[in-house]
Amino acid sequence: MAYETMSELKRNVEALLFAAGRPLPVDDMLRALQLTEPGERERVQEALEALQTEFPAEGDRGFELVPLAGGWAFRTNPRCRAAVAALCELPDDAGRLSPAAMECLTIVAYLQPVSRPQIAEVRGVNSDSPVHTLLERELLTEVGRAQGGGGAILYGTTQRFEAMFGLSSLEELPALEGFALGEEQKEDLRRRLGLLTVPE
Amino acid sequence: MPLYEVISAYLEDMESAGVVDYWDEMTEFLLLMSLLVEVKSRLLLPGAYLEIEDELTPVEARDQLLARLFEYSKFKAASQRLRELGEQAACSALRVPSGVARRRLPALEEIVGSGDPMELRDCLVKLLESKREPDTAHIAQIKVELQRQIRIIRGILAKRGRFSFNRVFAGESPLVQALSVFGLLELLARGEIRVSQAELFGDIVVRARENRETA
Repeated sequence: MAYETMSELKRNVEALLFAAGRPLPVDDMLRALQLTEPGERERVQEALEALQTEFPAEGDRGFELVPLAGGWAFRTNPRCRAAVAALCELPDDAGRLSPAAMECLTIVAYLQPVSRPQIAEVRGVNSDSPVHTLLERELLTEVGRAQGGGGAILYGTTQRFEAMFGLSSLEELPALEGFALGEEQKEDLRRRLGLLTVPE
Repeated sequence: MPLYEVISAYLEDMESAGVVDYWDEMTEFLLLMSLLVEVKSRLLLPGAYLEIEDELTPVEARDQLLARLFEYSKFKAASQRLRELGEQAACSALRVPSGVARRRLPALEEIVGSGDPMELRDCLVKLLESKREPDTAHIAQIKVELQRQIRIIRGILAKRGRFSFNRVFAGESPLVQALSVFGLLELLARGEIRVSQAELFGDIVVRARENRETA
């Protein structure tokens, strides 16, 4: 199926995004539009960028087009939060996660694929319960088994995780090193724990 | 440094921060304290660690503890940032498809012949996702009870003494008719009625038994 003009292609891409009601990957769009020729992916990308100009993030429209969870999705403009929240309950799943669950989720997000013992090693405590909660909420999923060490189950994050935290992909996670303690904070921690000096 | 000072400072910190439910942090803190106690006990017994070759020296143990704490603190800070991102994302709502046409199933070629089990799993997930919640709106709730049908039959017989099954129940649903037959059988077994049928699958005439009638 050929789309002669960009406006025709854009119209169809917009319809797909509206009908999907979920982050739609470009591959799914190409398949639905029956576009198989080389260069057509670029045309779809171009159409998406044109749509994004029309529905910019936090722009004047009631909803915006954003790259989300490996695809593209229309969502309501955050500036309209109060009005939307008055009509329906906005999902605040992230706010309901306990600090322990958030830590486990963060560890998996950065280190995936990762096993429960590895999570526990970073946190210093058994993390089975929060991992179970995250699996139930479909924020984590099993992605395989470790080669050695008894073949522990390895976990990774899901598309739902990326959507919930507004990430276009895992690459959008803030750099972990950016959260490293500064020298002053490290000294403070040493001091607080009484480990500043150790007699030889 | 006395450990009680560390513990007191920690509790004061938590209370001044207004943290009410801090059991997660408390558990982790206890573990850190136990590690600290271990490090300190090693310091009190210099040379004791040499008895086991693999044991860490106090300095190594301290460094290892600190390295773990530093590493952990990165993830802890990152989790706080992630929570902020989640709160920001919660200011928007995705459109939930309602009444949308059922998604097309992936082509068979997309599922068969894939060598990668994870790809196969993804395809199967797509298949499962394609299924909508079953629409039961067209199913009317039918509530029929055998006892109720028996009461109805008794009521008719009390009034008329006899009746034609088809005349009374022909317009009812098959389920009501079936339960009414069960009702007849129950009343037959109790000796309350007599039934007659001129031909197979013909109408059933129901009469109250004479002794009941005379009673």
